[in-house]
Amino acid sequence: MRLIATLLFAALLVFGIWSFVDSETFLLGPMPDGYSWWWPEYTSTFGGDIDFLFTFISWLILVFFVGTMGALIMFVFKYSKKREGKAVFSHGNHKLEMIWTGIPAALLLIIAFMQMTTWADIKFAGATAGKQLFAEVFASQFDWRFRYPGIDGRFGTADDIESVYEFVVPVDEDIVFNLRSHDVLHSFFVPVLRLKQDAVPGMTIPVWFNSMEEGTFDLICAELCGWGHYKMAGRITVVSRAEFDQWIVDKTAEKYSNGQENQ
Amino acid sequence: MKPQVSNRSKLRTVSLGVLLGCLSQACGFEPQAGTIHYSLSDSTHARLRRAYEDGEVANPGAVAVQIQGALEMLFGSAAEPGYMLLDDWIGEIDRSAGGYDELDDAAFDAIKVGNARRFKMQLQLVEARRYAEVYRPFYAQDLWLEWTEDHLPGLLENPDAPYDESDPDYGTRHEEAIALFISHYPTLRESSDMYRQHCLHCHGNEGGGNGPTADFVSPRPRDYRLGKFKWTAVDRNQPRREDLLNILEQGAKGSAMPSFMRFSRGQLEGLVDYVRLLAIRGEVETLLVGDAIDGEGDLPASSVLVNYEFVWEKWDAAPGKYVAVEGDVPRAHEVTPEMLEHGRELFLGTVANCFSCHGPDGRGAGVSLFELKEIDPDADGAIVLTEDDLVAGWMFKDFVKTDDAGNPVLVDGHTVTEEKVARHKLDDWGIARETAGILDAKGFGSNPRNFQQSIFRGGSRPLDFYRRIKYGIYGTVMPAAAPELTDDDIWSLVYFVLSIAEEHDVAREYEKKLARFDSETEHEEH
Repeated sequence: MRLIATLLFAALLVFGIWSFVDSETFLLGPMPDGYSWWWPEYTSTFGGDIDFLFTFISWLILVFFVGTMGALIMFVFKYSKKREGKAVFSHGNHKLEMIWTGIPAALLLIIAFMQMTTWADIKFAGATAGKQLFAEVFASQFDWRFRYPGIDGRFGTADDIESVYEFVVPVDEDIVFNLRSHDVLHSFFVPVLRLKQDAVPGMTIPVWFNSMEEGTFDLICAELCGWGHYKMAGRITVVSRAEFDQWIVDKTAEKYSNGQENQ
Repeated sequence: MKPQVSNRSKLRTVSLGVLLGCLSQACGFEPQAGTIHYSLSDSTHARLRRAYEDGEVANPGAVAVQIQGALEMLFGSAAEPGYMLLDDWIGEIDRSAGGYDELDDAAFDAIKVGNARRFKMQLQLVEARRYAEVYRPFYAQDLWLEWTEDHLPGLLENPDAPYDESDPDYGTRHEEAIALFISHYPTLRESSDMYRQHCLHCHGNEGGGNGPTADFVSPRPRDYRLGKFKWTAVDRNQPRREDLLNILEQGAKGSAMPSFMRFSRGQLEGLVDYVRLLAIRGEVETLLVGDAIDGEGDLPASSVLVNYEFVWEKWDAAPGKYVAVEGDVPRAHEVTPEMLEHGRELFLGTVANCFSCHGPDGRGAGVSLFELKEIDPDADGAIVLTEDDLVAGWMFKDFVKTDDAGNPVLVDGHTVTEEKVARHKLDDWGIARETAGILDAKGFGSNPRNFQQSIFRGGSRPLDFYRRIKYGIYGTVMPAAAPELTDDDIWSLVYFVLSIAEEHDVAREYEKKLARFDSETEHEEH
């Protein structure tokens, strides 16, 4: 029994370290091109900061995971009931408790201070205040809808350009958009941008990002929003400014189509 | 102490067994195709029962079996859907593969692009010549059959040999394997699988809008069996396939119908095929019931084919009823205040008569939703409306409330009964207007559009508004525009309606909030 319990805990330790070290192809062997269990390469300006924090915290966790699991395995093996008899009550060790409270508290403080500027840059109201609104994004069960202001520069007017599923944005520009939900909680999540923001019904939430690379990326809903949550997908297409302007021209032509081309 | 230990280890064994059992169940899950079958609609059974009670039909059960058999002959079964081919079609159009023959080259290009994405994993493996590792894609049972039976054995033997030696048009086995995935068009059987996964729960197995989740969404989902679809580009007719595709891609904003853009073009075209099959099946069913009752319980053999051709003619007529506009569509920045004023006059006037349903303020709370003629003006609690009431913005809504028991009462305490107060007008799906807070028998209703919500289900391009106003909405109370209205009048109305939406758009609130924020911060600074 002792050996089984020890091996079970040891297996957990091995499994945990393995998932960390071999995270790109974990358990399933090499993945087809372009697929991985790990983060895709980031493309947003703040992606590096997020990745740094993520990696730092992951290493921290690894160290403590190995330490605590190792201690656990050792205790399970060494102090089994058969060999050591029944456990006795002990009041504990005051100094030891101070240490294992103090160290995590200090680490938490370090993490809190390290992430503060990153968080402020991405999420605080000041990050988007006074900037030109680029688009409005509406989440609803189970699709993403986007609205561009048209030539009058105002939203919610007759010349708005609307798009479903596809969010087209220019590269290397600060994209500020208002996020809204029509019905329940959703979450706007673009893994390559390292951007995740809840859409809350009744709230208008300004969000921003700046993609440094062109390409087509997945937009997914990261908040369980109902039975169709798994298929609430969208696509972010980052293109050059010229291509974006052309896209707007095409969308405008489509909006004012007279139907002669069979639309 | 001993028995306790053994109990515990028993418990462990049992829970481990349950866990493994659940896991193996979850891994081996496959939908059971054999258990799916079409049934006749509730209204068919109701009509037959009525006919039986009236003595017109002696054995309604036998009639139902006859109709069921006829429908199976025409449309196949749920597990094997497929059209019965008419003689006229031979050499003209091949409907055995759904709508494959009706698509143009641009559509096929889009289908290929979609397939390249949909079968990305399979194509990567084929191109790397790892044929044996190719795994089965979703909703592609016929494709898979073709792959495993026609392609795979030859590929494993020699991929560079010609696919078909007798026909030089084919490339090598390897090239044909890639082409198989790239140019795949879903069969009706595959599309029906997909329909059952993604559409059935609202729209029902036979497309009756009666799936298990239908009761939880407002408005209720479309019942295909009438062959009527609201958001089309045709003049009051069965839709074109482009119209159905458009709704699948764009969704119906503000309803529970989402956009399905994440699926490939081929999958969506396949769904269009299957929805059309269900719609035609439903229409034919309705006609057959009528014929069977007229024939006193005996379905004439000729009627089956006649009705089938009749319904197909209506669907084939759709492209001829397509609505487009001559000349340019006026753009939003070209709209003048005079044009909006003209639109407002028309909206409130009696020629266009918009206000009578949509209300003078566009909230969708007009008085015409009720068949006012049924009110006896002398009856207790009845309200007689004058034109002044309408112009002053009188709203029925404000006068009818619901009491604790859920019965509608007038504000002044009078009870409302069906005789006294207007009955709701019903649309062709039997859905009552609920503007006054009164719902239909099932407790569901759908409103005339409230323009102040600025949500437009059938699209918000000026052209979409033009089509709704000029030709009305098929199957609903929304009529076609009066013939006196010119195109200019209609564009004025379009932009007037858009201006109501604009005034109440959610973006206005945000602008107000920003302005408030700005003035507050200015105040603090000074």
